[in-house]
Amino acid sequence: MQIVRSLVPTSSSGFLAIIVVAVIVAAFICVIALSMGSTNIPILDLINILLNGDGSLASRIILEIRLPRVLTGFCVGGMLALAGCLMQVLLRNPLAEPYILGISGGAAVFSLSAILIGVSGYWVNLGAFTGAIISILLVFLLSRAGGEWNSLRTLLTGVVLAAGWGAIISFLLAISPSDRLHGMLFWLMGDLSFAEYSSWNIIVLIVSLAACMLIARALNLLATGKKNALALGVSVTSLNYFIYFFASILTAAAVMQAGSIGFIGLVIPHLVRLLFGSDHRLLLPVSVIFGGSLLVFADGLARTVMAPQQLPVGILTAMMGVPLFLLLLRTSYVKKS
Amino acid sequence: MSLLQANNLTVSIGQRSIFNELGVSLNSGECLGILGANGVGKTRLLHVLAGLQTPQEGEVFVQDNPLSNYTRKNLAKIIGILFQDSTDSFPITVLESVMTGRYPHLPFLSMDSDEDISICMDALNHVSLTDMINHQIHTLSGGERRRLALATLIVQRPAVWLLDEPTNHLDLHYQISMLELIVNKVAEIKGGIMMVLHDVNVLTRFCSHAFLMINPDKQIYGEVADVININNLEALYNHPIQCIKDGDRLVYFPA
Repeated sequence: MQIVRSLVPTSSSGFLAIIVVAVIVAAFICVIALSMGSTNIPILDLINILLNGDGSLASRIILEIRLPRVLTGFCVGGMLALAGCLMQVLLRNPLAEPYILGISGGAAVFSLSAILIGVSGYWVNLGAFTGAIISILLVFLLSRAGGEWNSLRTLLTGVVLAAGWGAIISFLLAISPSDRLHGMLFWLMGDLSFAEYSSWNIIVLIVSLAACMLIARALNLLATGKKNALALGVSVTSLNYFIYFFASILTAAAVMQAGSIGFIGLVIPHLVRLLFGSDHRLLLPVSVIFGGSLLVFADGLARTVMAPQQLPVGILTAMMGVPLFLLLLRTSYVKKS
Repeated sequence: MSLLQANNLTVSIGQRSIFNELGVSLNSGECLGILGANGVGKTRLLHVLAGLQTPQEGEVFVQDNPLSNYTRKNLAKIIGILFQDSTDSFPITVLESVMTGRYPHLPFLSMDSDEDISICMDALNHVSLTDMINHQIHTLSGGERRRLALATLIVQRPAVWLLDEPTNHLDLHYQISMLELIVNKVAEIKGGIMMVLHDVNVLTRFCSHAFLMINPDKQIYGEVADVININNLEALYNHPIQCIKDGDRLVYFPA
């Protein structure tokens, strides 16, 4: 088990090496995912198409259908993993994940309502975004009314709000006609088939990651506790607002694209911690890369395992991630004892 | 120079008054020991002086400037605090933990330089934790955690050291050697120490001044030789105290 321990880097060159390896693995997974689908396209042809598109059918499938979906999937996965890291520090709670404060619940209520009244595509996404923003503002206003930021109060406010949204979601499901239920369930389980490619995703992800890298050292301190961080020179209140802002934007953007894909935001940060330690300067970028890769790979499987039927990707992320995580957790405990 | 000075501090929680119009000061080269019964507000006083809590009334001056004029980062370069106990929720190694003490001295985004690492290793060496740098802190014993927290403070290099029961969890040997280490480190930089203690004999051994918090409205401040005596200690703890003489040293213990 010495191998696992030696993965924790002690120098900046170690950081860089891990990030480079992670990027190579991610690129490899993306290429595999591009070749997966109802039309099988060999990897060599695929690389040829990526380098010089020739207008053939295969080339159009790759460049117009699969590539946008893979890019969107990668962004959504990366956003969720990054938001998960941020929420865990913000709430100083290892069980925190992007949806814990009800952002996905709010999004679900509005997008399911959109599905219920019969609109589709763009409007469902817009509904999700609106719901997410409303939920974000509600938590923010309710949890800091008349006082300063308090993690525990924020957590309780968010969890209770999420329960409220959950009740409305159940209500919507109960009154919906059966022909709408399928789409609703797919949304709730997390699904990339409605996602529309937009370069905004990439911009949001990159800007957020860059901003968070600037405060990564402060995040390390905040993770050790509020008092401790304050005493060592972190302006905790403004840092909390900063984290909440970025975690919310990332979650809202991800939910808007893909519904509530579970698991990634909770487990990827822990998985990266188990492998490489808790330093946010490494945790944040590697979580983004791993989260993106896991979602892209899971989506590749979701498109193919029961083809031509597509599965909601949220099922696959959990099915692949749960055993992977449990195995890693077990090895890391064996190592310690 | 006055390192730290507070005038007319009033702190209450809800209806409960902790202390009223309390004044205290710390000059460079001094070591002030704070004694008091449970719940008299010793920890809270340290938190107020460290700027972690705002008093209802009164103001704290750090090197003759109001505390509120400092940014958090600049304040952390001057004032360091050792908390009564430590909490953790995420796994972190001993080296990473010590490195947090460098935060006030480092720019926004930076990697740990060789200099940072050698500063940390040096501090860990002082507290005899160098063999444990890659251990997770939750695997450490209470005493080791305490020494780790001290190493973090050494790395932070503040001028004012506020210590909340620094000898907690330490064995007999480390109680003395850690306090000797602290006193020497602070003397090197001509700083000052203010520490909450429960052991009168540790106070008389290491401190130049004493601050006895009798009740919310009454504190006794002075040089150790002037204020530490049986009368004051009995008033402080509301318990009979005895004293024996060992050479030049007076040793106090509860009867």
